[in-house]
Amino acid sequence: MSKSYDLSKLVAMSGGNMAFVEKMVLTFISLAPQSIADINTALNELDYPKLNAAAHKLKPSLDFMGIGTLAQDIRVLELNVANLQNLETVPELVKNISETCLQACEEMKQEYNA
Amino acid sequence: MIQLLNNIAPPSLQAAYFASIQNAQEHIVLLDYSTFQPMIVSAGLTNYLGFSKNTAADQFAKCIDEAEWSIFESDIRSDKKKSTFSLKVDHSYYNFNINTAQPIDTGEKIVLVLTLEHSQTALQKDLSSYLIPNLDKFLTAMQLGLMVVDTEEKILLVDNLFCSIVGYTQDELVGKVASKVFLHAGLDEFIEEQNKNRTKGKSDVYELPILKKDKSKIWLRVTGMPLYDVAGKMIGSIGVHEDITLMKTAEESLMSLRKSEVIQKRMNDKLIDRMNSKIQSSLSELLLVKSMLKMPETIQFAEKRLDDISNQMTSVLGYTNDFYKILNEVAEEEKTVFNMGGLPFKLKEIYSKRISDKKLDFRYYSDIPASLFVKGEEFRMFKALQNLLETAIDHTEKGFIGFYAEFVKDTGTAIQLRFKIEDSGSGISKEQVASLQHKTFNLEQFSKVFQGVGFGIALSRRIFDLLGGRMSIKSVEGFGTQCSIELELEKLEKKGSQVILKPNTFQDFAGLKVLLVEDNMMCALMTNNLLRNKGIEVDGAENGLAALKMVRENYYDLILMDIQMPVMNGFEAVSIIRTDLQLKIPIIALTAADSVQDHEKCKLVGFSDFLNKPFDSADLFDKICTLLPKQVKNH
Repeated sequence: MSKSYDLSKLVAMSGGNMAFVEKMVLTFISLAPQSIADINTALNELDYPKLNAAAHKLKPSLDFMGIGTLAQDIRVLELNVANLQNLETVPELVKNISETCLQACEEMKQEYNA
Repeated sequence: MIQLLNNIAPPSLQAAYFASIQNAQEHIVLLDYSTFQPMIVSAGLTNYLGFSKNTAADQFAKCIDEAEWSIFESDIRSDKKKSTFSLKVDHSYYNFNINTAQPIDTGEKIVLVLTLEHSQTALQKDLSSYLIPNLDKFLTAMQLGLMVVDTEEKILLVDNLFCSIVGYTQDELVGKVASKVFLHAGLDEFIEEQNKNRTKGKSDVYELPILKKDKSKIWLRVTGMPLYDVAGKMIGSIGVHEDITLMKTAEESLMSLRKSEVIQKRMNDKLIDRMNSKIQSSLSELLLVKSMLKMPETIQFAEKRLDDISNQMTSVLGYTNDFYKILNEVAEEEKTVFNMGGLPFKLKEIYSKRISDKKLDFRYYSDIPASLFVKGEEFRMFKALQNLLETAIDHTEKGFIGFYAEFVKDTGTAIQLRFKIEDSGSGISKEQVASLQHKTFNLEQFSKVFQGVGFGIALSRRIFDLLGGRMSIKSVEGFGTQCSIELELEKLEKKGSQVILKPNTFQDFAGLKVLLVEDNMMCALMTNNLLRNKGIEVDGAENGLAALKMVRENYYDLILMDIQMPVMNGFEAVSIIRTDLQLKIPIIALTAADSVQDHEKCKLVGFSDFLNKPFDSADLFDKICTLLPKQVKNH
């Protein structure tokens, strides 16, 4: 089964500094679950500005970690909640983002023995 | 001494004497001694020259070359024993020697009786005029070009068709030595043989490669035959030439195909041997792993063994794919845009573990900018470098493996790079190095280095050739191998928000002081890392309010500021910096927003520029260069 993340961009951006890459991965593993929790809480409370802020904050991290399948979803989510449009799609987007992101975290934990 | 004919014979006998000259079969001409004009031409000479009986003397006079004739006259009058003259009759020259010259005084006038013999060195000088009318139509119809040379190979005549075949004009060829104009080196002996045949009177048909005026090679089928003068002496040779280049090219292609087939078959066999051997060794390893997995204490070793097997099988598959692609000269891979900067790191990531598992020192260096986007055949290039690294690792048991990637030059339209892969392994033989260094690394060269250590290197050499690069190899058996590659890749220009990045290798940012205002920890980590790697001093603030405090208390060359932050966002902070603090310090917005409105708003509140997160390092440093042209040192 292929990994749900790809660190090649991060490796390139860090100039091949694998220690730094590992630091970024560990930071992501520690922060991403809280961001996902914030997004889900905001959704449950239908607090769209808060949901927007949480999604906005998570977005660069997903890009850094090369979780390519979520690149589009997180932007659509941010756009919909910012403009209060297509709100019926939001729960499904949040579910998908949450599952994939947490799955990536688990895979990273395995690989980096975190 | 002049004989006085009237003293020796009566007039009737004189008339009979003149009649006998006229009817003589010998070559005799009787001249008026005072005017030196011909009066009577003998029947033999008339026939020989093709004159008509009644007008022979006039015709003789018209065929005289005035200048030559006056010399001849002077020779005769001064009683020189050896005198010659020539007549140009139609388009042929007839040279004569004087056998006897007898002046006779007839009483009325003095006449001169010349008995002639035709010269053995007569040369037909004006061949073109009389040969061409007869041969031209025939040769043109047959698409045959005509060339006539003398015995020294000097060109006397070429026709238009020959000129069109070889690309020269007649003026450019006549008088030149044919072999010097047309022939490659190495054909001298062959031509000498042909010339000998001519002197023996032999005609011959042969095929010959020659050089056209534009130095391209063509093939001619030459039918050569000796050329004789009217006296039967060989004076040169005449050749008709047929352009058979198409036929010969087809023949050569066929031969080359056959040769390639043979080489390919030989290499296929060797490849299969090699694969068999690797697969057999992998199977043995698998059996070993199976037994290891049964015992808890050896399970951890099994994992490493499996890694080795996986590597081995991957390399077999890689070789097979490359091999067939290269042998079959697969059309070039489609060029794609890719990040050249990531490629060395990717290789490092793949091979670091394997190298350290072998207890080898990995010497790695790359100064290719992390985000250098170029257009090229990424897959092939990656495979070629991979082959070299694989080969180095496979054949090195102790010491080191080196991989160096250097940014050489930005020409404006292209990026020049240099790679070096070296090892302290077993090295390769001088013969293999010589073949690998061969200027034209064709299939034949390839087959010579196909076996053993040279295999991976040969594949890579072939791939880099196809990519337009240049690879050189140094190796000492028992001490190691060094492969250097120079490569040029198409540079991309910057279009809209697409990245194309000029490398910032030559800029020195050391000494700059930057305030980074960012509440997203991952973005802060990454940006901080990028800046510090360039020797830039970085202070951090996690929101706009904290940033204002830092700005009031410290000097900064530049501020990098996030927009969406708690407590005070970037818009508010910049607005205060510009309006209340009246600071003109450059401020770059770091925004995760993709909308145009946000970018417009950034400019409106006083940001100097903006970057979308996550951004490329080259973009960041480009902007720093633009905003701080004086502070950034250019080298």
